[in-house]
Amino acid sequence: MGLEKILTKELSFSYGNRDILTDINAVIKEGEITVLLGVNGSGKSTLLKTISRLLPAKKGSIYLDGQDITNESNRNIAKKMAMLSQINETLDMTVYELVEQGRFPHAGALKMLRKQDHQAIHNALERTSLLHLQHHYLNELSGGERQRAWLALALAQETEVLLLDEPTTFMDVHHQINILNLITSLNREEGKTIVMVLHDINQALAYADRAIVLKDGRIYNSGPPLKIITPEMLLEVFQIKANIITDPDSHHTVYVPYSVI
Amino acid sequence: MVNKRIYKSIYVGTPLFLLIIYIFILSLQLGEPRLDLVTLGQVLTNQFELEIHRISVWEIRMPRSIMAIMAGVMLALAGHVLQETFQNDLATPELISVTAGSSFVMAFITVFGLPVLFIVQPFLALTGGLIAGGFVIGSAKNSFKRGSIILLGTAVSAFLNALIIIIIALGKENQIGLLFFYLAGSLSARNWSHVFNLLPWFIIFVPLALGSARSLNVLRLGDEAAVGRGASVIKMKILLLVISAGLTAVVVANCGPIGFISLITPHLTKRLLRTTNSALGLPITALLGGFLLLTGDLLMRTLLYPIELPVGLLTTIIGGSLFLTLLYRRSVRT
Amino acid sequence: MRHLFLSKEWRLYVILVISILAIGIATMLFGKTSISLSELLLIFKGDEASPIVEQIVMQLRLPRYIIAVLAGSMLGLAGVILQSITKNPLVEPSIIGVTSGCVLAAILAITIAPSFLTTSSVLPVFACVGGLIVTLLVFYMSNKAGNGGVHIALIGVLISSILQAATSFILLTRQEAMGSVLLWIIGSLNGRVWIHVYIILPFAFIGITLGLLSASLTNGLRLGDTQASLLGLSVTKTRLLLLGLSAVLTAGAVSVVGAIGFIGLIGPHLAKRFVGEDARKSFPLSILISALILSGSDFVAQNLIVALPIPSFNQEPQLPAGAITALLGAPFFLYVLHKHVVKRGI
Repeated sequence: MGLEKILTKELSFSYGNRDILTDINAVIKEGEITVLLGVNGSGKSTLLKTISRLLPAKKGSIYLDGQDITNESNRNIAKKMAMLSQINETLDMTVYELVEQGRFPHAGALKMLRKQDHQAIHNALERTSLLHLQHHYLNELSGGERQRAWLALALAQETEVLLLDEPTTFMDVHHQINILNLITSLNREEGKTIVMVLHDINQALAYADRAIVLKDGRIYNSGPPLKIITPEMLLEVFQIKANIITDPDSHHTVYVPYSVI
Repeated sequence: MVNKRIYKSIYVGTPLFLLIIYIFILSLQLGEPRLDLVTLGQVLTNQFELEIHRISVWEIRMPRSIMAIMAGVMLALAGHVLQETFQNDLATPELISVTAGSSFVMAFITVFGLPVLFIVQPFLALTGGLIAGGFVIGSAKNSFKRGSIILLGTAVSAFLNALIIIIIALGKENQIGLLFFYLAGSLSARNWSHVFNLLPWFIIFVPLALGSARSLNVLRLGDEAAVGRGASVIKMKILLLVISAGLTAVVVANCGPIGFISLITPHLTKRLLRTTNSALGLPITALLGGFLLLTGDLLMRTLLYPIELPVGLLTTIIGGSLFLTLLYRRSVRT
Repeated sequence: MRHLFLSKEWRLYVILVISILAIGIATMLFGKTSISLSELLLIFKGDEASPIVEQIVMQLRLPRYIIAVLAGSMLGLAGVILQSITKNPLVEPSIIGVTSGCVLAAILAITIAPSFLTTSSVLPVFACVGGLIVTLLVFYMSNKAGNGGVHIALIGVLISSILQAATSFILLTRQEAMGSVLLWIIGSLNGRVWIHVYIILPFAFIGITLGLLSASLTNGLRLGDTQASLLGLSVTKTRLLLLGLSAVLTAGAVSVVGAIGFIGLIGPHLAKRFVGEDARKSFPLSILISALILSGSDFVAQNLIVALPIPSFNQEPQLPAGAITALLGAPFFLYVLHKHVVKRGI
């Protein structure tokens, strides 16, 4: 399999006295889709934010391509990793203006946008099928289109790594599948390394190359989803009784929960 | 389509620029003595007949009008930068007490006759402004909502204004002109030395403000997403606050706290252009600010002649009412 | 328990009255000319004292002190009434712009109306009109905008700064003297004499009496609109009546002492902290505290120069009492704002 793209060593984070993450040693492999799983409050979003350095690590370090980036400048990190948080507010700007901000780490605070910047914005809009909507204001878009616009912002950053925090929340099933297919094609066709937080375990089974399961701020298990998403894990981590079955038509493996303990 | 937006700011900007030139010429003509265009042309080409014409154009009206344009540009930019920095259209230098802080320092220096060089005064004004503004922003940190900050600012400004009044009432130079200068702001009797005092700050800070468009645009994403784009949000905000305070302080040091230009101009720009994109908005804000203050000052010195009123009163009355209407309409709508 | 509460309240009243009187005696004694206690006693006994000393006490210091006490009481009562109606501790006549409205109207009246009107109790009537207009405007706008707490203060602050600029505008066109400008811009008791006592007196008497009588109405409003109307209280009418009353109180005070700010903030807040929300207790207490603050501020304003003889200072300083109240009130406003915002998360 691929090389190690991101490594965390003994990574810990806490709010005040409350430990959120404890000694996380996570491995994200290059060119894979890695999904973070866990119940609310297990620390999966926090892990993503700590890796992207939105939150400062309390101790431990983060390596990107073998280099320690724990104290790297925001701007250098933003050239290598694009983070997309959960979005629920609408901004008073057009799609193009939004995506343009993805060039900030490349063009900086003072430089004008160059040709390659405009090209990158164009590519990002094309990839997310938003070219026809680029001059519309965000509040004129549907929820799915708006999510794609934010994804385009991250794409315009032209990074090898995409960190996505629940990219499918607040969307209907149709748009969820649509965006996950888009993310998959970014991974397959452009070789982007993708780390995302998902709530839906079935989506993790369908789309992830690797899953990292968190429980109480520690890594419970990690590996290929088909191997680690087991009835025992679901019982211990999610406290649900469930069966794992394979759909004879699509050959997709799904979990079917039937009771809560 | 991108170009269409740029054209829009050109469509708005060009007439505005021509308008400023027109009012500027008008401001050289009007007053006592009143000059027709031919006479003005003679004066400007140094072929004048009466010395009084030369003095009123070159020594009195021209520096004052140049001062008005520069101060207007600087105040408007200061407002635009600060509003966008904190994503709060009530966060302007005057409402977060930067202005009152600078004004207090200047009143203190003037009334007690402290031996401070003319060129150094803006730096002290800046210090005062940053302390007051920093205090307001610092205490609003936990509740940085639109309304709370203006009230915090009001309280701090009221405190500083009371101190200014006490200082002026105590001091020997017991004069009303001074009181209104430091409470309302005025351009009366501004001459070339004031222009030259303002100039280096203008040259440094105006390009900085115009160049901050990209930073301001990335801040529009919200703090978290801006960090994700590689912005060092806190550093950027501090820097932008300093730019805004720098623009404000030197104007206050030379003209007093002229009100509401920094509040109203960015709003007008956004309405004219129908975008909050700072790259397009900042230049228009600058022109609009220059235009408004120049026109306001011209009105104040000609309408009630020979009585001359501080232009800060006019900008407060008109700008304040306009702003109140905007605020009211919007809060009723939402 | 009830007995204990009463005694606590009365103890406060007594302490405050004694303090106000003490400020009064100090005001008579100190100033640019110091007067000994024995001289003061002579004057009040009607015995012969030096005519100059008698002149200073009877014609200058006494009326000024009386005005400070009356104006303080009126503004404190206006503040507590406004706060009770709005249930908002940030609301006070000067913050919501009523003071500025009164001042502007008074200035307009002085500019336009014949002078015999403006040196009588008619002046506050003009001021009243201005105050009422602003009160209604601010309440209308903030109700329409429906954003509660901070919003009304926000609109008031903006209106206030606009009206203040307009006032300055007129004062400058009239080329008024420094003393008069300070009076109308920040509020001052300099040069207030008996004629001003006569102007303020009817308004103080009527306003304070009605205000105290309306305390039980205010208590009714505290039940909430529905419950209050179930008890037979006409909510809208009561509210308008109380708003009008607070405008009258403000106008009466402002016509004589100018735009003194923040007085109506501290009194009500302290009063409610001591005796709770019961208007029958908080109203009189707020009156006394505010009277103490204004007379105390004026005493400080008059004596600060005497206490600090710095050579570069002006010989005839006209330190306005309003500046002192602003120095006290502005930080207090910050404190209330902080508390209010933290508590309610607005």
